[in-house]
Amino acid sequence: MRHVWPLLRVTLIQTWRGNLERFSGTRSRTGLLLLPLLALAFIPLFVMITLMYVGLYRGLELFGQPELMLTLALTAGQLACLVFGVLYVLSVFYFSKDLKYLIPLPLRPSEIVVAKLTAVMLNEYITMAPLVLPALAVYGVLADVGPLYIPFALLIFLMLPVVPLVLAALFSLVLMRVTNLRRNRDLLRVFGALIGVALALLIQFSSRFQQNGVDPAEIQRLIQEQQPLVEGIARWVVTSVWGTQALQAGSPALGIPGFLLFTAAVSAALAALVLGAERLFFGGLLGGDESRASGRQVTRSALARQTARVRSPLAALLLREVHLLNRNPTFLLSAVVVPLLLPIIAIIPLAGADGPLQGIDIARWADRPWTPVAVLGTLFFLNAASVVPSSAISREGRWFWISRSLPVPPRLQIHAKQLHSLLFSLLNLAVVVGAMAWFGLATPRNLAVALVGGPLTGALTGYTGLLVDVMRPHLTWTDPQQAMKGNTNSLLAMLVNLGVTLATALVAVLLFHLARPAFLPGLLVVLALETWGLGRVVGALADLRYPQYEQ
Amino acid sequence: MIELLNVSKSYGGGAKKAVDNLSLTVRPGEIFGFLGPNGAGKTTTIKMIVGLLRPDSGTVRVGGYDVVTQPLEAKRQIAYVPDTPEVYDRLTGLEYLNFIADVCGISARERQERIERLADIFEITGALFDRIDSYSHGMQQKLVLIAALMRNPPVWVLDEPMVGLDPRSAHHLKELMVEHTRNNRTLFFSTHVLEVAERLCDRVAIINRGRIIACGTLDELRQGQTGETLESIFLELTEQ
Repeated sequence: MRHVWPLLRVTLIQTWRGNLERFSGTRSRTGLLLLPLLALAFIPLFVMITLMYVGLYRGLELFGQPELMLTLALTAGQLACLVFGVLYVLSVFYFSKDLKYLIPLPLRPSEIVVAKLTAVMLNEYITMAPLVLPALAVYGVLADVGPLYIPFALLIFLMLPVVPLVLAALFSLVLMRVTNLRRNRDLLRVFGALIGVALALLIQFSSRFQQNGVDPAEIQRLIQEQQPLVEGIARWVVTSVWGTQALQAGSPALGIPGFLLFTAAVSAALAALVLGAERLFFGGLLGGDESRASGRQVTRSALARQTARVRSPLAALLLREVHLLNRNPTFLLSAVVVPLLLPIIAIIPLAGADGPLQGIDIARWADRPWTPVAVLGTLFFLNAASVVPSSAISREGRWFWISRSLPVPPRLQIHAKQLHSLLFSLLNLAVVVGAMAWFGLATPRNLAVALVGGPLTGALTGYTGLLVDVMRPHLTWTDPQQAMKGNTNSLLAMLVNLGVTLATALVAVLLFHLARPAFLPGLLVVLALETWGLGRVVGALADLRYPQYEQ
Repeated sequence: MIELLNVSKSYGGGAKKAVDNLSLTVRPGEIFGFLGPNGAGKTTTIKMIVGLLRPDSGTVRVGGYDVVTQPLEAKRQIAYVPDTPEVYDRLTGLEYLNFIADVCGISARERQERIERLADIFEITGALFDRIDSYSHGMQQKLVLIAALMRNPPVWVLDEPMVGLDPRSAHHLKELMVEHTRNNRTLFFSTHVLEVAERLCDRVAIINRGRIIACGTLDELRQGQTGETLESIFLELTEQ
């Protein structure tokens, strides 16, 4: 294992140096000083989650089980790692470009795997932090914890991603060894989607438990009804239980065994990873980096047919975007995960036979004045969650020289990318319209607002994503996940969208009070103007920025 | 056709000068070879010519258009082949060529004719319906060459175009290069194969540590040097 550190060092430099430079806009180390400023931007999100945990703690305290909040937070953190980790680990282990340099070196498979997994883990802390850190802070402040709480909390947080990521890694190792998926990469879509859906179902059960505020009666009912489920999840994610025992208020003597068990589980997981990697990693890699030739015969007439169709530059650029995303399973899954999983994670359970919305006549809100606004808000939120626009330039990676040497204006390329991201917002529109029909909200007025507002919010959020990516594209990725999940542009785009939301909400309130009859059309016009204005800005920025990127 | 006037480019905040006050003119109808040791500034210069890098100072013009202030007009004059053939690996070869043809406004008839001809010359026709990630390095190089050459603009800028090509394809490429300049068009290319430069080029420039240390016809370069061949002249000059 003596090569793990140099390997990890190189991987981290490769992954993070580019990220830091993009954030700070400079190669100087003083640029690092800007990072705390960036972290400040996420304070509102942390405050919101912290308040939710405070409510949950108070509610659970009434029933003498406040530590259950820790179990849920640790479980949520680990599940998030597992769900997002599977594809990430697959991508980093098997599809990253540095493999061709690493494999010929005299390295043990376990050394490569452990180094790569550690690099992934550092990224996963960012995924986990908003779910776990506020809970640890809330419990530490509100409960009567002992002196070991802070060191234990810190160590548990640091070790928390290990077990789920090792599970993801072992799954990937077995999958690739058995199916040799590298030759049939498209199968990844099926497997990835299936795993995502299955795990999403698990998450929604645990999240349902958290969604229901602080109403004591409701919590009592949920505890009674869901306790077996929570226990079931806890049994499955046994590290959450040990972590909770380690952190639980009371005598330190009770905490130490829990902590030791937690640490032992992490060590055992790492040992399993080393064993698994030694046996399976290289076997899964066999098959080479290239795909096989199709073997199709190229005749003169076929060639003539295929070259006969002339497209406009915009249509050609759009088609390129479609091909590049659709044919890369990592990109495609990241793009469709919201519209694909949303109905499973949120809508179906909420409205299911025993869901919290059961018995509530939502249809009676169909004609309320704010219902179409809520529809627009939902569409805006879903479209804002898309990573398609905020990674549109980043996805080009090392091929970006092609775009830069094309004799077409960068703004045209940006508009093609915008059209492409609009296609995905249509999926969100379909989900929302389906949900409206399900809940009985699909009145002509609401539908009209959704059909006009869907593309509008899609275009608006598309431009905000593109705005961020135009300013700071992540072009130096070595595996596709770095361009999508490892790309913090999606987080920055969410912040920009938060600003757009606040501005639009302000205008909406003013419109409602000052020109109520023209409220809805007025709101749509405001969205259209915002989109048009932002589109102009992003286009002009692209013309300015494209020549400045240096690869 | 290509003019560089007092062009400089630094990396690392000015710490490393890759190109230092370089001036050069390449005339229409000329095959111009650009030679130099590794890290001498060849690719940086080429990237500035095609607009992929911005000069810190100086002017680059292609076909009379300033690359910085009139980038689109300049790009329409240029066919560029980079030193590494990186193209969208999820597209098929023909999809990539069609994409370039669409964006560059090449008509259906012209693209069919040019793709057929160039694909036959480089013996890649049978692979055009395959995805690029199934191509070898040499096949990707051929595809990048076809994509550049089918546009048929007046200026070709090729960065080490022979690398990865089999001998037959390299031979055909040299013929195409000569044919291109016969029509009073311009060819600027870098190479480490000095025999090719010696045989093809009307003029060559040798760059070392960002500066042009020699520029002219082979006869002009021989003056003041003891060597007769381009190789010996190159070695002599770059040792100094």
